[in-house]
Amino acid sequence: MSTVKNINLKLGDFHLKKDQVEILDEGITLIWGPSGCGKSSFLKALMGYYPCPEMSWMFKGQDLNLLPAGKKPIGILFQSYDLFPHMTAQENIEFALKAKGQTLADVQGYWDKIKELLQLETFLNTKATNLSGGESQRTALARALITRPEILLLDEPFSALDKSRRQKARQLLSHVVEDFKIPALIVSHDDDDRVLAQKVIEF
Amino acid sequence: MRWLVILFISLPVWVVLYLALSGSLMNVSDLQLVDSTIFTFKQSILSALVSMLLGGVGAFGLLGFQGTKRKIIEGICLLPTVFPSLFLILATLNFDEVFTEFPYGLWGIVIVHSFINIGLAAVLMAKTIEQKSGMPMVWAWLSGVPKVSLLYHGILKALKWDIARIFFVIFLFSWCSFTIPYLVGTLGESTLEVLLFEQIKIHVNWQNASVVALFQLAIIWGVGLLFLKKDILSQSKLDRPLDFMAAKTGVLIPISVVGLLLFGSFKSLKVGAIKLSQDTALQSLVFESSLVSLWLGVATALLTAFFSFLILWCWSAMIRRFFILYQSPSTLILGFIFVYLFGNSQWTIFITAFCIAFLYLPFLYKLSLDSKFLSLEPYQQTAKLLGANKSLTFARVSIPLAIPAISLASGIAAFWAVGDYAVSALFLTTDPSLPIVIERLISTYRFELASVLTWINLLLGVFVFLIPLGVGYVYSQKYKS
Repeated sequence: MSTVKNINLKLGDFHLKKDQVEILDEGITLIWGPSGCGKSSFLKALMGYYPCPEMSWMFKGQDLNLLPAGKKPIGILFQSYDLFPHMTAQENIEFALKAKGQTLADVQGYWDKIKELLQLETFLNTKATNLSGGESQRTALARALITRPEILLLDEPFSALDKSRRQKARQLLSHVVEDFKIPALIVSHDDDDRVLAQKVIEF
Repeated sequence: MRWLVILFISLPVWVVLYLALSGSLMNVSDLQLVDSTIFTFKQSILSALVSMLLGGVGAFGLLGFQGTKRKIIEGICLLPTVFPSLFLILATLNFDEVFTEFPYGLWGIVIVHSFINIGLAAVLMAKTIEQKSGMPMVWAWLSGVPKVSLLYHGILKALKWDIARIFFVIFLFSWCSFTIPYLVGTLGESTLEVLLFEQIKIHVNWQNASVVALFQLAIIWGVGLLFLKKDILSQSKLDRPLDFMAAKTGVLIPISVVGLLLFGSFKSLKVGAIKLSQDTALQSLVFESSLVSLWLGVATALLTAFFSFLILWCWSAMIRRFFILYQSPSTLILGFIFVYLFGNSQWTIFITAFCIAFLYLPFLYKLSLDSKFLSLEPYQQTAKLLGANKSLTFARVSIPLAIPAISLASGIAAFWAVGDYAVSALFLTTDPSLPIVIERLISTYRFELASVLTWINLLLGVFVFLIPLGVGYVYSQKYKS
């Protein structure tokens, strides 16, 4: 269990204050709540997107909030996936790895596993702008996984998909978390996502 | 009706084509087309390069700001883009602390063009980075991608076409610029616009003028085609500044340019005001020319409003596509056509206003009218479903909703008309407008007096800008009540 304490986030007129939030070290923790309750802001504070200096996030004996943005051992997936439009799916994934000084060849076995599990093969050479919603989501998930993060932070990961594809995507995420043994913290306002989680925190 | 509007707006193009192709293209005498093209290219490419380099630094400064502060800084950066050319030329010429001897010619033109465009380049680049690469860059930053890689992949590689597009906007602006090369250039170094002016006004050689106009039109449209690329925006809205990529001090470059220009224009104001107070003949000329400029502004506002209403009445997907693709010919090409068609008219102010309204209409459409007209569609559909006919929908739905955008477009056109020198120089020589008087003072090196007049011109422009806005406001208030 990792613990986030002293959350005190001010964004214009919006103020989020919470004493403590506990996140599972394995499986999926879901932060659930209606729009505007501050769940996405909380996730972004964990990422370092919004600075929250009073907060602490004790994860495996280390306060991740003390690490600067970009140095935290996290994998990130935003609601809109935010792939680089000028790159192909593979280039987007490779880019995350290059940033850490590695290439796909360095992680060949792991990369093969990701490709297989997320069924990426058919669209790896497709430009990001030409990917479907589901393909974009799987590419963004692969990009978040490829650097072997210690925890995944996912902001409304299914909201950009149509209803028929959401169930499939939920199952896929469950498999990923199980197979790669990476804990995930998900933010969602969708009631249907509750079935995914081992723990639900209501905001 | 739609086709008539399209034919009417693009009429100058047809006239240029007719004139150039009806005469023999080989029958051109003493035309320094090649020299002028090379010089125009040199000054345009240098102006665009300097503006992009310094504007690029400014863009990284802007990335560090958000909200009201950002809007204020952007407003300051964009001031040189909206100021009349004569105001900027004079302000630059007044820097005798910096330029002990002003470098007339190529570098003089490049300096003034760059002063105008550095802020514009900064604002456009910052917005492009945020809108097109913003969230992917945030993801990359949070995932630990180094700044150099972000700069290369997130900006240079991802936005290479967008950056090229901004470059060509400035290139085209410099290519079509007339007043600056005309006043800051030197003999023997003419741009194509100046060459065209000389063929119309000095040599009165229609054949040569039509060849230059056709050549100029082909280049403008050729470069313009580069802009026709599908926009790909970042999928989500950026709700924080890209401060991890920012270098806030970068904004000092565009802000310093504005500071220098204001300093240059204020510098000799006091001496100029004293001289003007002692010169009664000039006072009456200033008064008369101010009236001419005032009427020119009002007439341009009225014509712009009329054309805008006409477009609104005929608005359709086809009209929209036409205006988005259509690029107005340069000032001097339009001026040439209007001189050819209405050169002997006594209604010089009206013809000048007509030409200016024609010149700016496609730009103003893209700037403020298009998004407004597009947003009216659901309301027009609702009115139609309720059984309203076209006239009723136009009068009770379209006009009240479109009035703020149309009055803004008319106000901007009026402001530019008051500061216009290029078209006025073709028509308003016997009853000069204020910019013509200013140009005469600059040509005779009476910079102090010219400084005072540029401020009068600017204030007059602001006054005329506010007239359509006021009318629009009163109308919309009346409608609300």
